Amino acid sequence: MNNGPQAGQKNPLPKKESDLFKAVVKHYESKQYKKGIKAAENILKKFPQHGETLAMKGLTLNCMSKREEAHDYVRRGLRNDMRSHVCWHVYGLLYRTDRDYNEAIKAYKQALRIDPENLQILRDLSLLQIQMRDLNGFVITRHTILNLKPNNKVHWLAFALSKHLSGDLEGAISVIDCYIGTLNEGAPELRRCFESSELAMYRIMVLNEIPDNDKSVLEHLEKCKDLVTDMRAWLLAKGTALLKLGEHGRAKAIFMELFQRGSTEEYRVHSGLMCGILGLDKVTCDLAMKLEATDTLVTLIPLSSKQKACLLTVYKEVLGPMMPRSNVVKRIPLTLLEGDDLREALGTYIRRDLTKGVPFLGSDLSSLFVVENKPNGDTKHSQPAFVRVKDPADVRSHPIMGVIIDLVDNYISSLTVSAKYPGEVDEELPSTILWAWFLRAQLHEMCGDYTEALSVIEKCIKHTPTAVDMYERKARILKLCGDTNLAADCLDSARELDLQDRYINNKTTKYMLRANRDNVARERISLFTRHEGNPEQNLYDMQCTWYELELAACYARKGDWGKCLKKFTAVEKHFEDFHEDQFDFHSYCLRKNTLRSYVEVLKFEDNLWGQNFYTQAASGLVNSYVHLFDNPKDGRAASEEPDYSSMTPAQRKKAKAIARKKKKQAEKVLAEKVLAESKSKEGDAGEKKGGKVEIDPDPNGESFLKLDPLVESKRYISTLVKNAPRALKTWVLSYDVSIRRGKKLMALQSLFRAKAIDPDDHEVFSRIVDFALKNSNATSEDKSPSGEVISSETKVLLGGLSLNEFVSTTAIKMKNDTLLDLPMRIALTKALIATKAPFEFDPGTIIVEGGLSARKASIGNCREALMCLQDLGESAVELKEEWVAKVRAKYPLATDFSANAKK
Amino acid sequence: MVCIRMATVDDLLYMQNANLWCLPENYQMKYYFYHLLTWPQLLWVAEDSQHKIVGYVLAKMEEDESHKPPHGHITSLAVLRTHRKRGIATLLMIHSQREMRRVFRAQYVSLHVRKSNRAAFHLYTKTLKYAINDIERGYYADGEDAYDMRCTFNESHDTEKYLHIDHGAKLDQSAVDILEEKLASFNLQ
Repeated sequence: MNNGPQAGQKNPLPKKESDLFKAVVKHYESKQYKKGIKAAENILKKFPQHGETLAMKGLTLNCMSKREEAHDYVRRGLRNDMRSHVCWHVYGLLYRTDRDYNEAIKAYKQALRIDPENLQILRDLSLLQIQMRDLNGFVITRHTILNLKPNNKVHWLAFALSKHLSGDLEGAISVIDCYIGTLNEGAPELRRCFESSELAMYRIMVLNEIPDNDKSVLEHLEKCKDLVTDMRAWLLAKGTALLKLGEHGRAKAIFMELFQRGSTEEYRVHSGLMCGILGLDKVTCDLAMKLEATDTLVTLIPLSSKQKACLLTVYKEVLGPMMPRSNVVKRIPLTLLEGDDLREALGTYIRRDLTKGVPFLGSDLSSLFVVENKPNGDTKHSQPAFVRVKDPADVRSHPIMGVIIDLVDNYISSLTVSAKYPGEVDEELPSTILWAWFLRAQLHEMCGDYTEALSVIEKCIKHTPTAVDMYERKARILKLCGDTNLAADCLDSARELDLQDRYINNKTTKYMLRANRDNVARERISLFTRHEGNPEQNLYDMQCTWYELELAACYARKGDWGKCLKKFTAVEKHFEDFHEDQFDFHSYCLRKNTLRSYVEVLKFEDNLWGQNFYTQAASGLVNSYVHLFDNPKDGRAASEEPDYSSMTPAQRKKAKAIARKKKKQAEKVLAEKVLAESKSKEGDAGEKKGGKVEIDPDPNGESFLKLDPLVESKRYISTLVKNAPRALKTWVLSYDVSIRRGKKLMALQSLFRAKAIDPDDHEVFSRIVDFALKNSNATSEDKSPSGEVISSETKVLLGGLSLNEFVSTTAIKMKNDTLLDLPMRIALTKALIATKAPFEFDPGTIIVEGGLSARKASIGNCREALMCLQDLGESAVELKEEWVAKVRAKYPLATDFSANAKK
Repeated sequence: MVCIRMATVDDLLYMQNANLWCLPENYQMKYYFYHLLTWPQLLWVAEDSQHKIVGYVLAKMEEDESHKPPHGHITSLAVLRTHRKRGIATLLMIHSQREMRRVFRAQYVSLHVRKSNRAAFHLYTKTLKYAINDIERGYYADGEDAYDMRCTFNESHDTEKYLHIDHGAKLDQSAVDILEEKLASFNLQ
């Protein structure tokens, strides 16, 4: 494709120079930059002020990484020839390479004012408009292009796409139909092939976005059937449309056909068939077809026993014999059965996988632990009828857990005695008992019985000391027990059993980081990065986000804030690249006809900053900056001068001498490193010709420490608020930053948003108390309008109560909830102390009595609780000791709770 | 329980993550975008009940070799160590290969495998019926040789025999009748 600007007609040059100018453009397009510069200079010798030549020279220089010179030339060119579309086009191209797309758009528009029908500039403009999501501008530009060149398919598709994206769905359909109308009978575009199939299915996609359009979707599906090669998508669309139209009989046949074509392990297809069998209403069918992963209709709505019996018959008598090897067909009945039937089916399922040695059997079974969903405040989004429980406090009392434990214990005792399952004749392989123990250890773990879990997994390791999976499980249990160091060492020994396996190597890396051993972690992960160059750089180049997030969190724990911020920011950079990645696909997908995927990618990009990896990085950054704001001393870079003013002259002299020595040493190390790296680069000859040795000018991230922490935080908060408004942590962080910036109204609003998402969350509760405390003194004097709003809205936030009443009533209400999570107990205790709200018990009892059998009683939270009790001082010494004793009994490996540990 | 389904754009970050956890050959996100935006039907994932991507296959059609019949290529396949032994890799491969044949009319599919990777070699030769086509010396960055392997599609890849190994249904029109027959005894309305 011709990407370069076209030579201008204004300010004509003489023949010789005009030919030279054409050569400049040609050389630019063929990337022969040196020749281009030479030709340009030849013109400039005679016509030093020729604007278009100056601009083209600048553009060429830009490709030779001479950015500043480039800008200078392009600007001079433009100044000398403001009426040349070439100069403006070049100006836009320059901004485009700088990723300053708004400026580039302005420049292109200026160029088009001079040359309104220039296709190249129009095309470039349309790319930027879609990149910037200027959808209205995109429609206009694509319309102009289509009018200029209506015989090009791409232009029709682009115009249809622009209508679709700007929300004119019917318009998009009619553009596609117009295009098809321009084709002659027998044209290849009308025959069945990938391109025609993609276009037909894209048209269906648009039709599907029109509300209540299922009838039309169905009609058009039938019409385009002969064009479609992607029959799987076609059948799925047809089945869904039939369900929504209440044509359950026909829908069933379609889902059966999907099974026949091999889509047997896709849970959505199963939900579709279930909806058809049960003849469910349109809304339920619609929700069921949008279920994700392994969710099915069974957890979406409550089913009657008659409905369950019907589905069971189908699975047992029809689908089972038809798909004897499908795992999903075996698995779904477990979600439908009850009582003895369930016990029997579970037994068969578990025995099969123990014999095969399936490591994830435990996690597979854990999805059976569902309970009725308590609706929260969110009425906008439909909620499933059942949700999964994961906390040991809930899992240990779940009836299905009881059944599974009973079965497995039976197998273990039978296998121990006779190497057979109970009542069986055939002997099992020795590995069967290994996997039975493995599962048993995991069941203990799920119930929070870590000591028992540990002793069972020890049996596994004794039985087969070479099985990597056993060590991995043991490491996990050790981690849950509170000994991250031992856990990391355990994985490291597993790693040595299988040095080829990157998974176990990564897991070791991750645990080393959790144990704050970042140097060992780096050694481990480097075993699988490219051999040349700096491993850290290789991991960055490969966008190894998980590692960077873990490493940043590790630095945060160690108080190395510069490096922490640097690693979190690396993740942010990846996301900027992911956003930029779409650019090349704007023109590519139109040529490839893959418009369905393209539209999905555009939507994905629109919500990119709401992706989990990004929000993790952004929250990490905000938390770190907030810490640095609260503790400015921690933000002092290592290389910075210490505070000499507070020292005696003798101390000062000594400190300065030390600083000098350190500086010298650091310089020496850096110099050696540069030398070593340049040598190793020479080593791999020809790899990168003339590649500069990349030296990180700021390996410790000190530049980040110089930034204003609240300004930085505010930037991330606004991104999170915009892209992750349904995440609780967004509003919690937004409060933390707003309150520090003195923006009380924003802080208040954040609390309301957080409370609407989860009114029972401890982080929300503690911040409500914090806010009310901060304002109890201030607002009484503040008679300004915002002060009045704040005091009246605070009351609303507290449910019409005073702060003390709010804390007391919450405490009384929660005291009776035996499963009330430990973090909330800590928050309540703290609130009672901070407000001195009346409460008939000692605040610490909320933690100590029942805190360990409550939800979220992880070792980390137990430590938090201990700190809280310590802060209570003399009055709570006994409570504190009681807590330590209780925790020690449950977590014997947590050294900080052991008898001789100092507080 | 694992769901085997076609990948969507929302899976790509997690496919990349799974790749970084399992294999030494890694790619930038743009390469995943490129696959999805060119051959959307050839990317498949295995997702567990916690919505975690535990395995994936990234595949493409070979386009430059105009003289050869259309054929597919497996770019990358991985299943987390924790999720082995349930035949997930086989299922992913079969789903992608099936779409190669149906959507792109591929006549065969090729892939590269490390000479030392016995487990993968076994999967390709025994379960999936690939044969060695060639040996590529020093194919991998660390200097290891690769087997260039190939599996030619035939009628059996769309018939019952093939479906038998890929868990597909042995079904004909009468199956729907059987279903209706069973359901007739339930009065659900």
